[in-house]
Parts: sequence; C-alpha cells; structure tokens
Amino acid sequence: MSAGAAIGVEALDVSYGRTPVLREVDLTVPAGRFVAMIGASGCGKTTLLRAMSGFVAPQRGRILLDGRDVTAEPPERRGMAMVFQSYALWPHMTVAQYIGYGLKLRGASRADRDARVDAILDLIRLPGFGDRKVTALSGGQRQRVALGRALAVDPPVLLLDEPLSNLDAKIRLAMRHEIRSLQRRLGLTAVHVTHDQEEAMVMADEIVILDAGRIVQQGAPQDVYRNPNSPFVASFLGADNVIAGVTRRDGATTTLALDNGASVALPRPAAEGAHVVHFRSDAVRLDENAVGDAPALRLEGRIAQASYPGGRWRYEIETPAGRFLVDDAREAAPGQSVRLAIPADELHIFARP
Amino acid sequence: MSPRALVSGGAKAALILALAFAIFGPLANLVLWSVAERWYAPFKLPVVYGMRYWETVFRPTGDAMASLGMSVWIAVLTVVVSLALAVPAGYALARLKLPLRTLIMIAFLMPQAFPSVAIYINVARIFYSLGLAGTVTGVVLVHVAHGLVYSVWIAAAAFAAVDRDLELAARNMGASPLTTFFTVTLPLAAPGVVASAIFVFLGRSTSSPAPSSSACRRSRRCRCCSTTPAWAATTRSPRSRRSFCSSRPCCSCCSSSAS
Repeated sequence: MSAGAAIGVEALDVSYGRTPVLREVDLTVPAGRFVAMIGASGCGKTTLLRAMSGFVAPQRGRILLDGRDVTAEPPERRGMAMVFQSYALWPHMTVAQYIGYGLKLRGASRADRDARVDAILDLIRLPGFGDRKVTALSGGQRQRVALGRALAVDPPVLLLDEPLSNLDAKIRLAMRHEIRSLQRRLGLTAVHVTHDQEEAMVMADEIVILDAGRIVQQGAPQDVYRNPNSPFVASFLGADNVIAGVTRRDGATTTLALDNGASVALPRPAAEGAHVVHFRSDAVRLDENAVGDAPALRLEGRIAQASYPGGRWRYEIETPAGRFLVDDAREAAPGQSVRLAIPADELHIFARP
Repeated sequence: MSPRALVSGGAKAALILALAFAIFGPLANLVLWSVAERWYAPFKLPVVYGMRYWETVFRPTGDAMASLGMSVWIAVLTVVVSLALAVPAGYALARLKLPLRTLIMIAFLMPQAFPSVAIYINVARIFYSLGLAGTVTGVVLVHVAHGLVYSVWIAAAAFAAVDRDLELAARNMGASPLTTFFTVTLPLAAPGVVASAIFVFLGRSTSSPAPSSSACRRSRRCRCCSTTPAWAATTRSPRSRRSFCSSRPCCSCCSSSAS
C-alpha cells in the first residue's frame, strides 16, 4: 500500500464564467491526514475538491502534490482518486469490471487484476459481489463499490465529494467509521467535502470551514468548535443563539452588559465596545444552581414552546434579551417562568461590525 | 378467478388484440392483396387466389434478388456512414461548448423542412455535375443527408443523457479522454446510438423520392419528371413536356417515359 501524499493549494482563484467561486484559497493537507471541508451550499467546497482532482481549471494559483506542481496536469495524471456524491458507477459493468478498471488501464495482468479486485472486495466487505451488475446493489453497497474503485489503484490521495449524503441515516453513521478506519489503515491523505458538521467533526483530523469562496477557519474539530473565530463559524457550528451586548473594561476584568441590565464578567479580556454574543442551546442551564458560583449570564424568561427530539427537551424561551433555543434534561411546561444561566466560558463574543 | 380479475383480464386481452390489429392488420391486408388475382365487391375475401404477382416480381429476368441485395447493401452503407458522422457530431453537440449550437442543430433539420422533391432535384443536378448520379455513393450520400437529422439529434440526446460524473470517474482513474469515450461514454450512449441507426435504416428502406432522383439514370421511369410540381405547371402538351424533361439533367434518362 502506498503512503499518502501531501497536498498544497496556493492562492487559488476559480470562477465559473464571471462568477468567482474560490478566492485566494490557501490550504495545506499534510500526508496521511484526513481533512474535512464544510460550508453552506455554494460556498465553493466542492469546487475546491474538483480543482484538486483536475476537473476544474483554476484562473490563478497552484496545486501541489508532494511539492510537485500539478496545476496544469489533466485529471488522469494526478493520482487523486475521487468518490463522487452520485457514486459514478458505470451501469454497463459488473462490480469486478468497475473496480478493476483503473488496474486494466495501468496494464495489470488478468490474474493480478482478479487478485487485487478480490482483495478490495474483502476490504470493502463485499466478498463475492464481483459478478453482480452495479445496478443490482443497494445504496450502501454502491457507495462501498465506488470507494473500492477509488482504492483499487493505490492512490496517494482520496477525495470524497459528499459520499454519504445519499445514504440512510443508519448506514451513513456506519460508513463514517468504515471510511475513517480504511483511511487510517491505508495511510492515505483524504479530503472530504460535506455539509454535515457532525460528519466532518467525527471523521476528520482537521476541519476547514468555507464561506463565499474563502477559507474562514481551519483547525482540529474541538478547537474550531470551542473557539470559533467569527459569528459565521459560531452559527455554522451550532452556536446560533445571539444576543447583543456592550463590553467594558475595569482594570483586569472585562464585563459584558446587556441592554436589560444583566451582566457577566468574562474569563478572557476583550476590546471595549458593542459586541454580538453567540451561545449553544446546550450551554444554557435552566437550573441556576447548576452553575454554582461560576460567572454566568443570568436571564429571566418564559417557556414559549417545548419539544422532545430525544434525550433532552428542547425549549424555545422568551426573554427580555430575545428568544433562545435551550436544551435541558428537565421537563417543563410551556408558559412556565424560568431562570436561565449561561456560563461565561460558553459565550462566544465577537465585535459587532 | 374472481369476476373482477376476469373483467380486468378481458380488458387487457381486448387491448392487446386491438394493438395487434393496428400493427398487423395493414400488413395482413398487403399479404392478402399479393395473392389475390381477382377480388371485387361485394366479396369480403379474394375470389381467385394465385401467385401471379410474386411470379412477376421474381421472374428470372426481373433481377429482384439483385435489387434486394443492392438495397440491403445501400442500407448498410448508409447506416455506417451516418454513424460515422452522427457519433462525433452528437458527442460534440452534447458535450462541447459550441457557439451557434442551436443553429447547427437546425441545419440538420433543413433537408426535412422543405418539399423533398424540390430538394432532390437540386441534389440530382449537383450530383450529375459531379458524376455521382446513378452511383451507389450518390444514393448513400442522399440517404445520409436525409437521415442526419434523426441520427445526429438522437445521438446528441443519447450523449447528453450520460452523466458527466461517469466520464470524470474514468478520467480520475487514469483514462485519457479517448479511452473514456470508448470505454464509458459510448457504451452508455449505445442504446440511443442504435436507435438512431434503426431510424436511418428504416428511413432508407421506406425510401422517398430521394433515391429515384439520384439513381434515375438506371431506372426505366423517371419519378422526378412525373411527380414534380414544376413539371405540372409548365407542361400542358406532350411536346412541352418533352422539352421540359430534356432541359433537366435528371430527366435525360426518362425521355422514353416522357414521350
């Protein structure tokens, strides 16, 4: 098995016609790493993947593979194996012909090809499926065959274009782990594109968040999740309760004050001025005492709506500072008055533009 | 069987019978006429049966088998030439960014958009000047031009229907554009391409005035002279008819039938 290759993207500009899709994108993926690119539809994540694979020509910038400039090379000479969202199975071939296609092109003998195809079928846990038509497979099996086709040629880089988005929820969860463990076992460099934040965080060593054709944040999943660097990233990663406030510095402590008078001392210093504050629905405590003496933003509110998505209750709570979504294990009836506490270290504070 | 199943089964059978009649009825009538030596009202079936017409067609001096062979040969050649044009043209129209794509598509429609006799008289004139009239090449070319609208349009639709990602997957696995075309695109578009070939083949065998004008040097009767509206307008007397025909290159063959 070949080891992975490092990918470098330098100042890449891509546009479709006059519409710019990627602007000045710089990205480094070290060999053997699993990087997930996430962003809303149209943010350019799939275009970036297609530029790496050679299906989209950039207007400016370079793409490097282990330091070699491949920007001008056609897709067939890049050695980046791609798994398509549509799976791209060829309905006129059997599973074995499909998986063996790349090997045949490389001039492998029939015996070598058969042996390799059998090995791949074992790897993707579909032994004995070689003679089936690809059209006779279920969604999860098709997905694995598409993956097998990509892996058959020992690629240094695996590109995954939303490969799980057409699968049932249950199979999707299983496939996350299958793909991840295959990637680790084979030592491949993998770039995964998805719009599913949880999928990206579970699978990747590093996540890259794109917005409007630019990379806005990049880092280990837990770092990005805990320290989003912009309101966009905070909202995108689920911190979409928003309040407005003003910070004031008093010696070593910074205090955040809301319009309604509530205030909290912040754990980290911040610049003075108007700010927006993002926090997650599961950061809020309905029981004031749960936070103890720790600094927390305290608000009074009334439950406007309650629903039960499983595990915890989800409440929509009306407060003087706005309406928030709150997840809590305790059951409460709509109309009930509650006191909220949001721990200070769960508040993501950004200067208001 | 429940009464309900019986009714639905009966309806299905009636539908199939009606369909079969619509398809085979006219053919059966044709077969019946070919063996009817005498058939007149009020009789529902022929009065006298016989193989007279068949004998006439296949008489030893009739060359029927040679003509049939020639027809099949021309049909095959037409299909081959059409495909050789339609496959690359269809692919280009479906995949490449061509300026004036719609205009090109419409250009293929042109031979069908005008009265065929008017077109083929002019084709015949050109072919005479090139020495192509009366040759197999000439007949094949006329058929190909006539069938291009089917073959190119159907092939373009077939190529357009092949998902782009399927081709990209082949490129991604290391296939050159040409290899991709022959191993992925063409096999996937094959049903459509075969359909276009069938159209061309059928179009050839139910031939229009097209071949008669370009092959009239060989035939005994000249269809272009006897059917053209231009002739009808100018010809009132046998003499003017003769002069019209001799002024037309395509009709030089048919002075005997015109006189």
